[in-house]
Amino acid sequence: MRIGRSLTVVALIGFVALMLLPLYSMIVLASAPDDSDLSGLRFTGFALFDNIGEIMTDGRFPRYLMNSVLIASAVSVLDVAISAAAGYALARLRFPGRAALLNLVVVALSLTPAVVMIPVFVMLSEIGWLNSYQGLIAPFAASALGVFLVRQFALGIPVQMLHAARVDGASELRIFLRIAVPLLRPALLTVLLLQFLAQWDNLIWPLIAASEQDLWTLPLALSSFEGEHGIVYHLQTAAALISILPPLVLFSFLQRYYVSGLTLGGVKR
Amino acid sequence: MTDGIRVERVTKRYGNQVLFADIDLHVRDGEFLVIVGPSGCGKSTLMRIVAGIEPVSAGRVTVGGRDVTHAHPGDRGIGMVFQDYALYPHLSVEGNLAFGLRAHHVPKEVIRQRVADTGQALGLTDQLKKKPGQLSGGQRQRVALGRAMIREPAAYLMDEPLSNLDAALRVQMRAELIEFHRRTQGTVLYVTHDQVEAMTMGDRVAVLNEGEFAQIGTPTEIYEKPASVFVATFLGSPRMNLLDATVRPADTHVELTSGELSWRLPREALPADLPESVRIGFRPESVRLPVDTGTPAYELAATVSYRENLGNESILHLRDGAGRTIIARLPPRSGPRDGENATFQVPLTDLHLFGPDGRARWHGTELADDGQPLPWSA
Repeated sequence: MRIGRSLTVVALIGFVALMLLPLYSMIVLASAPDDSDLSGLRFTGFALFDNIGEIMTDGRFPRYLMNSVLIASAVSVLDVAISAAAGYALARLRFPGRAALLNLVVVALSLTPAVVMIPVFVMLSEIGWLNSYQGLIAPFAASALGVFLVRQFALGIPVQMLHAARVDGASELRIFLRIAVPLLRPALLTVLLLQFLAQWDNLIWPLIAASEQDLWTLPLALSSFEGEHGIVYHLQTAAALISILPPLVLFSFLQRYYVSGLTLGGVKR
Repeated sequence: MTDGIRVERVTKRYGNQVLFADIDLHVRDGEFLVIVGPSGCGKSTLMRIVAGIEPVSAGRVTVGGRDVTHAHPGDRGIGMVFQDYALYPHLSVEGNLAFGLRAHHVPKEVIRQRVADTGQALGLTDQLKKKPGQLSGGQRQRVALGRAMIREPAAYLMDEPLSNLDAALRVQMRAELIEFHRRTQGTVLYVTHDQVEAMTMGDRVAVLNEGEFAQIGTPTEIYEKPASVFVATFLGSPRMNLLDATVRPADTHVELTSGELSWRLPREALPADLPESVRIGFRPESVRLPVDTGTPAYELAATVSYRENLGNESILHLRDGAGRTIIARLPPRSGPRDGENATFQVPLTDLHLFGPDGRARWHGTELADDGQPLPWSA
């Protein structure tokens, strides 16, 4: 019994170590003063802050970081707003065509992003939105996943409660803002987090839609990180380390909601 | 605000299905009227039509004398208490009470005052900052009542507020609702499927069945003079005994025969146009052990199939000579045991006669309460 438990603990520690190894390796490389040892296992020195300082002051990195923050924030906020309104309406308002619209959302859910990439590219090119912030934001500002997630969650809001608000004299907008949105908070924060992370990591779309370097985001910048004398690994790794910090901070704040949002438990009373 | 609630010739259709047609109901000012009926009879839909949550297909609804047929639920002058109360879980008690006032853009100072007054009237002053989840069942009901009354509505609608409570709390909350009505003298339309709530809470009871009011009257009227077999069997537990019987008129009396039973009733007491075949109804508490009270009572020889001792009373399942089951309700520890034969009595004044269409033709109770000497006392 006791031996079994010890074995379990040892095995778990082993797994955790395995998971943390790449992160450790990343910190080692990002701290290296030069590219002399690329094994990523031994500290050859500790120049992490010098490296970060160099990245943030030299070159275009701050601009890429700002682009990423701007685009991921704009997309996730817009997506939350649209998902909240559409998901709530699909779950709890009666209007003609509701079932058809819901089916459309479910169909959209099943499409892989790659399938729609070229049509969206053509559309944006028609209206001249390539190489613009709106061209990087608009295609993701509404997501089928967000709408569907909120809709499923909104089914947990008792209809009676909405009727009670109507009898209280509230308008539909007031009911949405004062009753539905607060009750949907776990789902909305989940959508916010999912979409922020998705956009933060989005490489392919900026690669296609933003050929101008001023519009580049972190994944694009990291994938083509070059100094004056070719690729400088310790600097690239330090940049990558910076790039994982914002989502990490966001996630640590929101993971409580993220978990309860994914379990879709309905509205607690 | 002197007219209560009126439902006039209201029709509700879903597609081709008619839930009810040309239905009328008047809840008088200050009256507590209970709509009772089996599930699916349309009682909740009717209430939602009055509330404005459900649109009418045809007809008119007025509250406090004002036509509100097409008004928004918030502009009808009604306060509503929902099943499970439907409080806003993310708002404090204060927020729940103030929600309707805020929606109507009432000034902040007025809201604060009204919330304080309502909280005090309902004994919620110490709970105002709490969320509904932190309240007891009784406190939740009071918040729901407060939310309904804070806008001083012309009428209250209550949609099965007690149906999901446990038995003990239900009794307590029933008493609180009755007390609430006494104090506010408000017009209340109350929907339930629970016959105990109907009998104990209502000034009047409206029995709804398959989209029609089978009977509207005081609880006593409904219990003592049920208008149909449906009403007679829906209210009262255990339900009324019903026996098929044949009517044979003679010179001075009418003979009712049912199996081995033969009952003679004075001819002038009965309506002249009784059909040949009727159903006799009498409630379980009307079946009693023989006593001489001077009122003619009809004897019933039966075997006890089994008896249920409930402590405060005993329910006897009897089998008569024709093999029919008759339910009797007797005081505890009295009467025969399982398998024993016994003779019981059913007083004439407790009989009800129903026609083949199920409509009531005659109530023995009428003999007892019209003040006239009973026909057989001469």
